[in-house]
Amino acid sequence: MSTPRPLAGAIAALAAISLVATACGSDDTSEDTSNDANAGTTVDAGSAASGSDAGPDVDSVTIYSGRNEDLIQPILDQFTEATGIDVNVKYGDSADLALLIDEESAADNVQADVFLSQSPGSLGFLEQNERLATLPDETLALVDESVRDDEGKWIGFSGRQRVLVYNTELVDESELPTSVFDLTDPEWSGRIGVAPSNGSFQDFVTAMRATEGDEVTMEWLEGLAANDPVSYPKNSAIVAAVGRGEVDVGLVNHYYNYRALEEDPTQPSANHHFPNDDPGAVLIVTGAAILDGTDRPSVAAQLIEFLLSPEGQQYFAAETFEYPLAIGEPPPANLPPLDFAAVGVVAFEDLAGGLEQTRQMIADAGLQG
Amino acid sequence: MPTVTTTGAAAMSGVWDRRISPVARHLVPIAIAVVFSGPAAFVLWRTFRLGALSESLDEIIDPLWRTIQLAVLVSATAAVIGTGLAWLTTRTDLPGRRFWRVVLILPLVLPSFVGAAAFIAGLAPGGIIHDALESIGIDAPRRFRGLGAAWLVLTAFTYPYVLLPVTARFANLPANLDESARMLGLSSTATFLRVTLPQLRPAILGGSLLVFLYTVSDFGAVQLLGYDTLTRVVYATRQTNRALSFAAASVVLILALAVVALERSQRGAAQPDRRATVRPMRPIRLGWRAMPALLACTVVAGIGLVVPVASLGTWAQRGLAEGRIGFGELIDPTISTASVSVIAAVVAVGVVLPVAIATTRRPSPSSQAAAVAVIGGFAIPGLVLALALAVLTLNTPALSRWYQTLPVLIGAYVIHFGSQALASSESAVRAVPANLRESGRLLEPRRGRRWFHVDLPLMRPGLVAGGGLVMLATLKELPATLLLSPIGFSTLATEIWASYEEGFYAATGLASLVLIMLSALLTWALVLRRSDVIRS
Amino acid sequence: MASTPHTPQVATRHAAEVALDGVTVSYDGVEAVSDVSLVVPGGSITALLGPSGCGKTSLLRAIAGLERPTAGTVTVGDRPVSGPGTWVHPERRHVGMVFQDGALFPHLTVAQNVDFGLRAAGRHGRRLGRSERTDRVRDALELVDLAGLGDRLPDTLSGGQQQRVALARSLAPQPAVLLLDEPFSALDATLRVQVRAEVADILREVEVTTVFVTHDQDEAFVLGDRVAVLHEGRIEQVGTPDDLYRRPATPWVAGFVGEANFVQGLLGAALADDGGTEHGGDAPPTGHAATLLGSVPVSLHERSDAETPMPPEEAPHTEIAAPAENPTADEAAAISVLVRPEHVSLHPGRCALVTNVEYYGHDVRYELELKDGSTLAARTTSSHLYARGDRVCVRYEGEMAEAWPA
Repeated sequence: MSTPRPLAGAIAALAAISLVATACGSDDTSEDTSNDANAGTTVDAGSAASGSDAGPDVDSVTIYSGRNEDLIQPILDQFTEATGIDVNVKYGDSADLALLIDEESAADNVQADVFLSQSPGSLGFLEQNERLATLPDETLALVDESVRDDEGKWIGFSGRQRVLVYNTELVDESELPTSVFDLTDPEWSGRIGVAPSNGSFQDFVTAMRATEGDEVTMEWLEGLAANDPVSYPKNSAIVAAVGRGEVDVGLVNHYYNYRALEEDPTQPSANHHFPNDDPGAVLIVTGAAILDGTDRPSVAAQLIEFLLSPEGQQYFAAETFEYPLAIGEPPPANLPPLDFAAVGVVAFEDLAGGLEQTRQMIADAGLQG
Repeated sequence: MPTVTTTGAAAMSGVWDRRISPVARHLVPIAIAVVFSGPAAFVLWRTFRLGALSESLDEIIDPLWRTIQLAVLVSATAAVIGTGLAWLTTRTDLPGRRFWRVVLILPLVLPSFVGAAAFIAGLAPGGIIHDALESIGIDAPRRFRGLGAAWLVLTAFTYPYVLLPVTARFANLPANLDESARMLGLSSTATFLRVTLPQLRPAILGGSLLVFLYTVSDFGAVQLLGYDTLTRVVYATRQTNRALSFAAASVVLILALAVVALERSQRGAAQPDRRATVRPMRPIRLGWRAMPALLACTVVAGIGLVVPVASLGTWAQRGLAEGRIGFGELIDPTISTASVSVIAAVVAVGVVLPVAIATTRRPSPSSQAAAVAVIGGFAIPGLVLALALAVLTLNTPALSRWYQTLPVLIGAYVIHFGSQALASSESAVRAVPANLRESGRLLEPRRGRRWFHVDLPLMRPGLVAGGGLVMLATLKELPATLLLSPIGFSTLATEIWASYEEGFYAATGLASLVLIMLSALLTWALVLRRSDVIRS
Repeated sequence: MASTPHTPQVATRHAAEVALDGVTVSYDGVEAVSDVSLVVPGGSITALLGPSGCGKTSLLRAIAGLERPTAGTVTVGDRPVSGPGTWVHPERRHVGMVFQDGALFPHLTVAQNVDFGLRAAGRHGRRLGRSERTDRVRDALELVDLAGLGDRLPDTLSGGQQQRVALARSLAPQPAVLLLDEPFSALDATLRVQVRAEVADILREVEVTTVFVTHDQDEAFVLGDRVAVLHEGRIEQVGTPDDLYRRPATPWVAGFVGEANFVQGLLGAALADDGGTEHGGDAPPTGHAATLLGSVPVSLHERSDAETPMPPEEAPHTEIAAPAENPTADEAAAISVLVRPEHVSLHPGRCALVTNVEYYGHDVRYELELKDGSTLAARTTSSHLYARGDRVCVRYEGEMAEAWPA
């Protein structure tokens, strides 16, 4: 007892000192930087593009990322390599980070320059609360207008299509529905996996409301609910459930199946794409925004432009199995081409005001959890 | 014994009281209470400001009812299992009971969402439960969801909250109380019910309370298992309907505080701990009952430890074999996790100890309020607590420069988990006999030295046990770590979450196994070797 | 206490005899009690006396059923309760027990503690009505002189009061046998004497067969009708206190039950032949021994058990060499004679030196150094006082002394 105690105490004390020192150190650094940086908050597009104002205040950029570290860090590292600008990232759930940004902004103490959101709803939430700065026109011009905000507050940098994932041992290709509306057919009773509380499902339903109207959407939701679908918390859980045969088919984003097959190539699951003009084939965009109150708007824009550069776009196509959104970038080899004119895109302005309404409709239809 | 009990009241005015002014005696617990109740106050204030509590009642009432059902079932079951296992491993001749004493507390180290995910995977074809059931001719259920599933999973990972304090209580319980009852004509069963159980009651209640609070504020397990509780309302509406989200969080909080207050009123006056000095009890011979007892321990450890470890191991092994994952990336998170957990544990014990001294030696409304405030910190869903602390830090001038630094993160851990050290600290304080404190006073006039040489060594086992619980909780904490940590700081829990969220199961498995091993190692090195739990 | 009114309600149902035959109790292969046989007559108070670790508590717990003997049988009344193929659980033996610290249930009031066994008794025998139980609780508390404290919690009572509640609790169900495990050792010295006297009165009043464990010879002698002395798991001797004190079976017992001088002596051969006439057929031979205290009448035991040649450390004893010149050296046998200090009388003279004086009021204890350098303890009345440094002569003044071959 007497021998190990001083040792353990010393280790704990050392750890405490080093941690506190680290904490103070990092705290001081960020404070110094922010003191130095008294630039305005409006975005200077020209300087952003050229990076000519690079000085002590712009040698780093801070991101709150709702996109997973494994799926974004490599391209951020490439950005640092290319520009010499350090990237600091706080990873978390998109919705949680949006809430945190909202509170930081309300306290006039915004920590990040850029917000990368996995969920369009979180961008809409911040736009609605006026926490986003306007993007430079040059940046906005890099993508089709269908995948950016009309007000210029956010921009899509990669896209995920809604698909029907199915178990290849339990469902024959010929049986697969041609439209998401066919899933209300009694033949699918008890065979469908859904994630009603997940952002991407809610985005998809919101998009359906925008194109088909509330009445048709409600009818479809009730029909789906009548087919006794199995609820899961998230897309990956649905894909896993389809893989083990718990349900036959599931409504998910397209890339989860590629990821699952990477984990376990023997899993008997495959994606079924609905036609481009079907509401079931809606495109969900991963978006970026510059935060209101940042003192490094130009570097922030520089980073977003890098994500939309050919280098960045091909990273998403090759590594995360997503659709590139920059004009002129080809889709991944194994994905059907995307017709931007035909495919439905989740409309952020609808989402911002209408997500709560969507949630209510999902609940009213009897889809739980 | 007579010296302790008869001088009990008089001894309350011992060392502590004479040197510390009455104002300070009340101020310290009150100050601690204010800090601990900050997040709760924020949640209630925000709910009030959003003005949605009454409008939200319709949407809250069903989830509230489901939450109560689940929390009552889980805490009652955990109480039975935890008490039963404590009895088996301390009072009987169960084969290998030292081994079981360690193994049976390990399920506590798993985050509940990992446990739930491992269960779901275990039930799938190829999973350990599926195959085990198949081998005895039972079809594994295809769907593992709802109340039953949440009940099973949460119980399997929380019963150690009851097991630990009850084991400690058994160690201090004079065996001759049981023997007296037998001599007065009670069977062994009746003795357990009428004599042993009332003596264990504070420990069982305290442990079950932690289980209850854990369950009402858990999100990870209920989300994965599709059981719609209040925390799911909090999460599902946090962006789309913030009023409802906060209203649901407030209801969780009010429910929890009501239960905390009920428990403290039911606990009864604290009795001085009487060390069993007479003679150690001879282990009860189980005889033929040893087999069913061993089976029970095996099933509990199997559900709480073997199933998750096997599932996680399958995931990790697949990734390791293909070289997609490695231990290298986990070194930094492991060091970070261990450091913040140990520091949080030490700070939590230091902060909670004055409250424990106040409630134990001089119970008063202010000390009871401080205790409720400390326990209430555990009743707030992690995400809400993290946001609350973010807002409080950002808007307090003296603190705002510490936003997203480790001191604030550790403060969050302490506020969230300090309650887990309270019960153990209270028994630690009771372990210092009043007459000893007085004799110490005569022998060593310097208060500081006396504190270090008399009080602290006597309190050590209890304080170490309490710190251990805080450490285990911090090791797996997620929401506060994600939001309040400095940028670039990651722990094993955040690694597990990030990989699981995107379906990178191999990385989830590996990081979880590292977390389990780290927890076991730290628990063994810092807690078990130093407490009464292992030694009989 | 003796004047406390009590009703016949608090009496034994029958004063059962307790019989132990060849009882062995082991812990993890180590024998705490070895092959003990003992009969406790119904209604008697028997003390199990011995130093700590002698097995006395294990023996008591074997009677209670709290330990299971590895061999031998235990009979309570005419019912075997423990033996090969027989095991009666403690709660079915109709045996009461008072523990060292009382072991009162801290969560129950005094009255609820006393009532505890009455409620339980209903499970195994005649169920008692509520009013009958209330009466019995009141009677039991009156018996121990604690009427009126029924609503208190045990922790608010003094140690002596707690022990009396424990006694009342054990007696209330009218046990056939009452067992007490070091019942007074947790009390301080003055309280112990007082509570002991009170308990003795109560036990005699209720006439319950009582077995109690103590390491204190005074306690055993004051309370016990009979005393069984245990040493290293075996019974050395059973007898009345007077038997043990005056006619200890072994030097060890002699030393344990009182202060003992062992004086070396030489036994005259001719006189040794007189043996047998005085004590009957089985009695050891008697004779006279020549010692430094003069001629001492002795009753000679056989060589004491090899396992216990020496008296225990806690009982001071002295060995005194035989006189250097021996008139009948040819036939003489060297023996060790037990001389209690009170059997040494002091006279004016110059044979010994007073090295220490302890004045107790009613008597005085002297330590003396004899000519040959050995020391001797003596107790005399305080009528004539010697001082340290005085020179005196010593003489044996007592009845037949016990002696063992040296």
